[in-house]
Amino acid sequence: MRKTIKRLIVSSVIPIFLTGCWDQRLLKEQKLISLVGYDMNSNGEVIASMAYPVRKGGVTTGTQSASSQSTILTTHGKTALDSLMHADLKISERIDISKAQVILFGEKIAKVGLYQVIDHIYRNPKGALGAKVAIVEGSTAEAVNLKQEEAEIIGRYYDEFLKSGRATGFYTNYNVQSVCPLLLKHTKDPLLPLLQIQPTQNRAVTVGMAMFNNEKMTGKLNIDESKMFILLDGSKKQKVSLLVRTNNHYKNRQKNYVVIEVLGTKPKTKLHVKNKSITADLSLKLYYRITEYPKNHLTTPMLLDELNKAIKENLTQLAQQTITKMQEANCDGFGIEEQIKVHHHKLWEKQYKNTALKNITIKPRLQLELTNSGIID
Amino acid sequence: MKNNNQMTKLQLITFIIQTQIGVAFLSLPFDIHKFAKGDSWISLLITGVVMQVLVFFYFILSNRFPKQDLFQILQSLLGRFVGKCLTLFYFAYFLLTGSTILILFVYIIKKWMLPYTPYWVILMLMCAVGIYIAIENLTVIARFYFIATIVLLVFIFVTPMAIKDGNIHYIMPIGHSGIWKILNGATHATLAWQGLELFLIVSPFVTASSKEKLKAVTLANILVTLLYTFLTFVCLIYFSGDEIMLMPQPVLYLLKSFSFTIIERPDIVIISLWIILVGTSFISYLYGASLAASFVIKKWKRQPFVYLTALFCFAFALFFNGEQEIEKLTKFTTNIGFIFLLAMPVFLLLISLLFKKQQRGNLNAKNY
Repeated sequence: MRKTIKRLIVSSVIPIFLTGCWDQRLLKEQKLISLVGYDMNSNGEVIASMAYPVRKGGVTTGTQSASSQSTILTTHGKTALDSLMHADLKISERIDISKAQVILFGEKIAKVGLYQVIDHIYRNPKGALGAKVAIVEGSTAEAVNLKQEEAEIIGRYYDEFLKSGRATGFYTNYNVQSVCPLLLKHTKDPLLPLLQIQPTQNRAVTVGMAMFNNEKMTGKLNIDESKMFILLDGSKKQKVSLLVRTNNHYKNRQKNYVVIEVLGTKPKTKLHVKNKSITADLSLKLYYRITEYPKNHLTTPMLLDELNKAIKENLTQLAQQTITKMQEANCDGFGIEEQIKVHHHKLWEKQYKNTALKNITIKPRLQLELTNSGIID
Repeated sequence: MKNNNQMTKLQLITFIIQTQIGVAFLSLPFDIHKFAKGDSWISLLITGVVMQVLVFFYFILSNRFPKQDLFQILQSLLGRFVGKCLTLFYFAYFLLTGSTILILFVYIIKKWMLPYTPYWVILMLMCAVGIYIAIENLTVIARFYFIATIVLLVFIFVTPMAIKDGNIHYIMPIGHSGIWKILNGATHATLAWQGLELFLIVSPFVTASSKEKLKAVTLANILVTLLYTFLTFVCLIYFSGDEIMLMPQPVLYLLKSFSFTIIERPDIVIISLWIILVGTSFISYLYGASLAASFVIKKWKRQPFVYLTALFCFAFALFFNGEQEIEKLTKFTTNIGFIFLLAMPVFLLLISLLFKKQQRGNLNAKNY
């Protein structure tokens, strides 16, 4: 009995000595930032806009949760972290961006370079590596300031916005961590979601993807090109739907189009060396189904063949257009330099190290296979 | 005779593994990548093979003196005075390694988890744990190590999740850094295998035939080599070459970038588990140092020396907290480790073979 009491006392005293009060971070003393937007003003200073939830109406009881509302703060400083430190001067509690869900970048700052802006996240052990990244056309302050109604917290709105855009195949899936190797040299270049803000509608709109050369933004792809890039890059999980124009001559304009959904892809990149110059063949096999065909009556195999041919022609053209745009922006989104490095190492060291993408001929080669045309013919 | 200072061959395996895997393994991919780039995993395999040769040397040596531990072998080979001197050197080496472990441990903990907590608090907690277990006899230590091996399973099961996000192109073409760079990387990996020398200290206490001991140590070596190679491989395909150069603890960074629904920062959880691995290495060196000390000064038992060594490591670690000092110290310890891990046992083996010295009389390893 005595022994038990002794043990009880010992084990209840020990925890007191186990607590450390040097590294505690109490929720009541922190402002958890859910969304950060970085932009640059004309002086080259970094503008940070951030949104954090504030509880209004005090404590409510029962099932009704207190309505939380986002408050917006905009500051500027010499560097990204400096601007956050300035934010600390303005608010009542300490700022904490380790729980950020989305990090937005203005076009201006993206053109200067991304890595330097997020370096402080990589360096911090608490850094939010899982946060999603996106580029905003126009000012990020406006994007953060959006009064949308679809989600309680603005950070979550963008989080879900990007998540759904990824699922429908508008853009690639990158977060702060997975984009890091791509910002460095000799690897693939990232393409990040590009958003536009429509303040009148209180909405963000997807406008395509931003192309990067290493860490600098160099161009934009529109929605169709983005989808094409996703297909060529061969991501398997995304179900991409495309509108394809197959005819010109119908007066009823709707009848000129068909909508297809790509069900599966088989991408294959081949490098051909000829006279020490490299041609890259992007061959891609697409399995698709038709989801809308306003002209109707897909009855004979002949018709299907013709349609298939038209779609193929159209898509090849789109692919060509996408690749040309990427070459202009020098954005190696397919990782072709990486492939050269792996398969033709000597040639890479001699000739293709840090080469411009223009110097490599890239040919898309599409093959299409219709798997079904819906439950009616 | 049943004495309570024995361990089984299974416990020998875990003892060796736990002693070897400690601080070094979080930064191993980074350290080797400096030299061997994308072929670091080959370097580690090479080091593993070299270490296996060393295991055979150890085995032959311990087979010639089946009932003696390292210090007694030293004495019976080189005479009383030289033997005791070398034992003292070993004592100093164990102290140095123990302190280095503590220093690196605090350094990483402060960097990743507790940036504002003072040095001495973290040091004191580790030392307290070290004393608490190292003071017990070998059976208790070995049992604890056996249980602690569960921690390694966590590492083995969690890290493969990174493979699906990996990019195999980062390590290709295989062998592109050239054979010399790979070998250079292999020599720098030896710190991660430090701890093998403790086999010579515990080997007389293992209740198994010498052949079984060889099997056990070989198995331990294979497991450690494979674990290191695997972890390094995963890090290499997850991080690009330019990226890995920026992160001194790639294994942690790898885990940090995952996020689960329930656990948002798995690296914190993993660090807490890693503390156990560091603890076991530290305990082993405390045990070795106190054993060496009590061999020189026969008057005292082993226990008071455990307190002394832990206190010394604590005091020593307090003085090192700059990044550059730590780097210098680690380099120094690695170089010293070469002498005591490789040179000394091989030298002993040569003497023993040349002068045909084997165990004589009944100078057996005792219970302490």
